[in-house]
Amino acid sequence: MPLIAGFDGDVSADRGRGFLGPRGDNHGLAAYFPELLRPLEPHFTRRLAHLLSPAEAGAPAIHRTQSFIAALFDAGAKVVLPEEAMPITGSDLLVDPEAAVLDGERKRRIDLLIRWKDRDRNLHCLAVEAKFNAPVRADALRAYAEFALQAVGARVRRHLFLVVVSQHPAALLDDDWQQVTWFSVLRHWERRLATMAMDEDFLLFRSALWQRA
Amino acid sequence: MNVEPLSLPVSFNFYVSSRANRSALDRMMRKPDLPADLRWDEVLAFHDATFTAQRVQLDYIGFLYTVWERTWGIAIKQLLPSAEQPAISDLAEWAPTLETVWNSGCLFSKIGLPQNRSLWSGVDFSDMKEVKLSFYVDTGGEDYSLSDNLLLSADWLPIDDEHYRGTASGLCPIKAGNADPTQLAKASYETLDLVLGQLIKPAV
Repeated sequence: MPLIAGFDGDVSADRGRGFLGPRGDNHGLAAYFPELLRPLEPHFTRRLAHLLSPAEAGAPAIHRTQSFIAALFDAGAKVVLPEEAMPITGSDLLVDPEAAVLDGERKRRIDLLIRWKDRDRNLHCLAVEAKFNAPVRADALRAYAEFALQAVGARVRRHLFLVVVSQHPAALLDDDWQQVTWFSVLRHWERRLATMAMDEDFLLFRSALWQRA
Repeated sequence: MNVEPLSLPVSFNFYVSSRANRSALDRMMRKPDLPADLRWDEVLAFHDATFTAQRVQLDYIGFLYTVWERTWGIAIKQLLPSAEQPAISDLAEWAPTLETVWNSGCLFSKIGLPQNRSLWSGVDFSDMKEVKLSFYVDTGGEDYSLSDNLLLSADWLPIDDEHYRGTASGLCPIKAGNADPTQLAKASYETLDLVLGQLIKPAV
């Protein structure tokens, strides 16, 4: 049995592409993010939004976002988002961290809101509630789902993902939400990023994410 | 004294050969549950990855065990052949689970001495660059004076804050995946010989 099986996709063709993604310098696990600098949850989501936003991070953000969206669906493993439903251009793609949601009198924030027009001009809204250690609140998730429905209109295709470190009881979620782990999202994301040009900033960010996943 | 040289296990060489390997295996050592998104054609890849991580830990403890056998183990055979092996329950928090040894970088065993004394004998590879030995003698009631005051060669450092005596740097460095434990074997022999000498010293 090859020692590197399960990490290096090259070692055994019959076992797919490697469990954690193809090994190489452009893998988040190959970078070193100092553990002492452990970012807090809000820092992660703001940084993620920045790296995914074409308005802030320029052209590389489009492929990052496409692959992030695809990785969420891969990790969810229940719904397939067809290729033609992906964002195509930066001008049709909006990424907002901590989008404000009014829940009755209470103001809440969705960690990450990604909105785009696909090739056929369909509108999509993808909400991500990103959790590391903080508790998940069912009422907050219901408010976000409602917001995503009302604020963007009924014609918009709505996708809701709760990204966590370890799975929460299914009872907490209604059917609108797909619960995925950071671990699964990252391993799918790495596969899709393997052919991208090296990007030190983004690499370090993924290294930090892997440490928390 | 000539002792058989040591070779680092292949799996461990793989672990230390790149940051990516280390990070990936460290991640798999945290024993992830079978991921809910795992596809059927990934099942073996997942188990391969988990097994590989455990293989590194197993080979690591195997390496430390071999060092222990070729140092403390030889000294016991020569100086205290009737010494009984410790029960795992005697080793308390040093019980050699894969995780304990991997996380601490040390393997400890307890050598029963005359007069109900014990010598805690360790092998330390926590920096993954060179192998060291450490020990202390427990004479009961948290009295470590015997090893604290033992006059040892320059191969041994003075006691640390927790009464351990450790070998000096440079006695057994890893070079190209190999190491020569001869000096460590001499140091362990010297120590056990001196400790036994203290315990069976005739009363003046």
